[in-house]
Amino acid sequence: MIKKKYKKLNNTMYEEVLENGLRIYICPLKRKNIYAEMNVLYGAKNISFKKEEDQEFIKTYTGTAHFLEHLIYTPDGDFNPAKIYNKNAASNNAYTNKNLTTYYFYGPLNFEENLNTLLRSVNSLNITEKDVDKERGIIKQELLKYADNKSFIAETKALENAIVEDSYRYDTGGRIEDLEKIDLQMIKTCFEYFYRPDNMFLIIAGNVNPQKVIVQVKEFYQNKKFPKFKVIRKKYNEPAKVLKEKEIIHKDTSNNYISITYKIKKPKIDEYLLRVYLNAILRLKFGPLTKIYNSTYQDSNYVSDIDYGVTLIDDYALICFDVIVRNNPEKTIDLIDDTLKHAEINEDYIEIYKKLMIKTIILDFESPDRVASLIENDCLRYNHPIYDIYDKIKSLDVLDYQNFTKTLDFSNRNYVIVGKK
Amino acid sequence: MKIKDYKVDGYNIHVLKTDKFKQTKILVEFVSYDNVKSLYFAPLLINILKRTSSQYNSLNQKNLALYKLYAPSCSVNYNIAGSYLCFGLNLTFLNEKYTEKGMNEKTIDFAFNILFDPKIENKSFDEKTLEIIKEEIIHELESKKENPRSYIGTYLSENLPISKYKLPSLKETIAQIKNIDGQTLYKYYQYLLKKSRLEIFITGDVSEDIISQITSRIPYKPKTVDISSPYIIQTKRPKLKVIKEKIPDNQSLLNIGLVGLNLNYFESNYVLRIYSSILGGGTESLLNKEAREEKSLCYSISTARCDFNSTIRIFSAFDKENYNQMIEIINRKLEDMRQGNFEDNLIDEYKQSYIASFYDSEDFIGVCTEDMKGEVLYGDVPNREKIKNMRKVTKEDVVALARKIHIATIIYLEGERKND
Repeated sequence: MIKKKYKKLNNTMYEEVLENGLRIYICPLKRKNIYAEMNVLYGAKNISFKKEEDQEFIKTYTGTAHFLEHLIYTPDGDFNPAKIYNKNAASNNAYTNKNLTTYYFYGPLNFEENLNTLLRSVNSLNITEKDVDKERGIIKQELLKYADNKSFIAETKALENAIVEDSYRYDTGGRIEDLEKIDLQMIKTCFEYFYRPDNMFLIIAGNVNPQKVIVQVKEFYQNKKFPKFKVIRKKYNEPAKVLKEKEIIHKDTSNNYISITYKIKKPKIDEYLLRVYLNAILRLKFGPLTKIYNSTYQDSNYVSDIDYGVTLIDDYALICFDVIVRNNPEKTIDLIDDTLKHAEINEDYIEIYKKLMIKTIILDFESPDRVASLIENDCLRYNHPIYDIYDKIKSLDVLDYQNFTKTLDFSNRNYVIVGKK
Repeated sequence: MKIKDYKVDGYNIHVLKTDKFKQTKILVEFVSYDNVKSLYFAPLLINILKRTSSQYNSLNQKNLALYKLYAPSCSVNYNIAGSYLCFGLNLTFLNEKYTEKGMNEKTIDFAFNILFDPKIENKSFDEKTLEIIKEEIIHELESKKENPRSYIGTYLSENLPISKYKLPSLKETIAQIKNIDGQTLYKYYQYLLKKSRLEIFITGDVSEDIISQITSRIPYKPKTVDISSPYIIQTKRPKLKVIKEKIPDNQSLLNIGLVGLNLNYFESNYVLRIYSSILGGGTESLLNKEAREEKSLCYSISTARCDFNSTIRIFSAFDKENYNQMIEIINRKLEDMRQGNFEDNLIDEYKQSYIASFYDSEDFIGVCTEDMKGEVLYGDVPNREKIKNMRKVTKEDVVALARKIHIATIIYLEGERKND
């Protein structure tokens, strides 16, 4: 076990890699609670994959990773994870995103039993056709819930229209028509390929003894054997242009739900810096210190604030905007475009932005779930936690940032409006 | 953690001193009896206090000042707790040990300025900003049916027979809001400040200096106002009200309001929690087990309770063909609760769950501040007492309470465009 320090933040992490490849990160905190999550590097975008030695890719349907997530806590004889967590007063749940499936519990009592329950749940799958069919009905209702949400329709359609080939374009839940085609065999294959210790990482934060945890996890895996093969995930040759530049969807509504996606070829700089710089651009051009933010509170045409975010996929950065307005959606789209391309950034604000980033990191270590989320994101994005994050933020250079902004091309974008008939 | 109370002239400050958190939390609460006026005035008031200020000419300037203070979480808001209207300030900021010396004082000054020093001219809030806010709120009211998932919740509230006052129609509400101008809103603001009981709650690693700093920032002499319990006891068995409407969505939405009759404090604070949890509070609940796990009718079915007025809401969404089946399951599970037809271990498990939440509330600065507020304002007992009381709840208590629970209102919004 290696002890690591978060520089200048006065927090410690313990790292271990087991012989079977499972990575473990433990962050003790002075709290009564413990949060633990097991992350499987398998998400909604992994719809095509194969063993290294195979010629053909196995093709699955959209939403398969999410479907499998629903089945992991299925009772197996006397082993019923929901009952155990309930008995131990722990909350538990799971979520799937494009790259990852995560299972977690949170509770102050009976940690050892909770952890064993989590480990057992993600390392064995004993389900039948009946279980799959039963869960299909539940998932269908979950998807229908989103299918009625106009903001969700605009966001998912904008992503689908921005990406041509990459499976990142599909919503995590998948298409309702695909839901009917996912079967027991497909679920079992995905479990076999991805639910293996060398494709997982475990994060624990809170009132925990790292040495004891490592002993317990090692004991759990002691006599368990896993097949050894390398999984190749399909790579896509994603073209630079968006698939469709504009789409208008009519619904019964008095508002217009707008989603805009800019697709930018990734500049060749460090991935961490790229993420920080792009987020800084958005915050400093659209955040609470800007003219456009002020205008949304002075004009009753705006039903919501302008939300923004950055996503990085293989060769591209996607910058997404979501906003709801009553009238003239195109005018708002033009305003956002003009602001993104031409708004000047006050250099003094960059130092303020750095202060806020440091504050956020300090607060992350206030609660076990936030620490876990920080580690999860770092591991997913950079393959390891960033221990010198404080110095990294402090050393951000205004000049480098200015030079970076000049390299960006915002000409390639699409938008979707879900609006009145 | 022990609460220390400071009596000041006309109000009280309550401090939970702890070094467990890197943040400090301050709640400033003006507590009065809720009345119909809050429906019209309170949303306008919190919005205008957010957007205008005597010290900053624009929202950008105000935000810049906030950012220079390391962006504390600072909001003016209101909520209804039983018969109470609680209006005030909610401030959480990083202790200056982790930022810069002097930040604590500057942050408190900034936040109290938002609450106590708004932009006022000729005893009026800014009319231009108020007109924009009114237009936004009226549009939200007029279009609320377009978002059925939030609409159904307010629709149920409007139709539960528990209201403290006659609820106005949408038309009446909009007409009332239209009539409010800067001067009448200012009068309402003054009324809330001067006629309410003022209580201030502080949690964090703070020194005694904070007391004098806060007292110096209260710009007037509050009155000591006596106020009775916020709990509203329901005494009349409600006549069942069923409302069915069509919506264009794929899914149909169901919201059912249950009312508990003549519940005492122990029942509404402890037994009702266990009842609500067994019925619909998680994966092991009776409703979830049958409607979701056995019959796959829905993604979720859950209950939410309000201790102050002894009500429980059941919410679910499903295909319209399954309405009758869903109602049949809910009725049957309510009857199972009355007959005690549920596993005994569920009582112990849910008791344990609440005991764990009382036990670990000290992990969360927001929860322990709210607990302190509960003790001072609502007559709650400290968490160690809550744990003792929760342990006393028996199956007989739950069954007895189940027999006092009645369906008051069913709201059903039928989705017409099935699987569109």
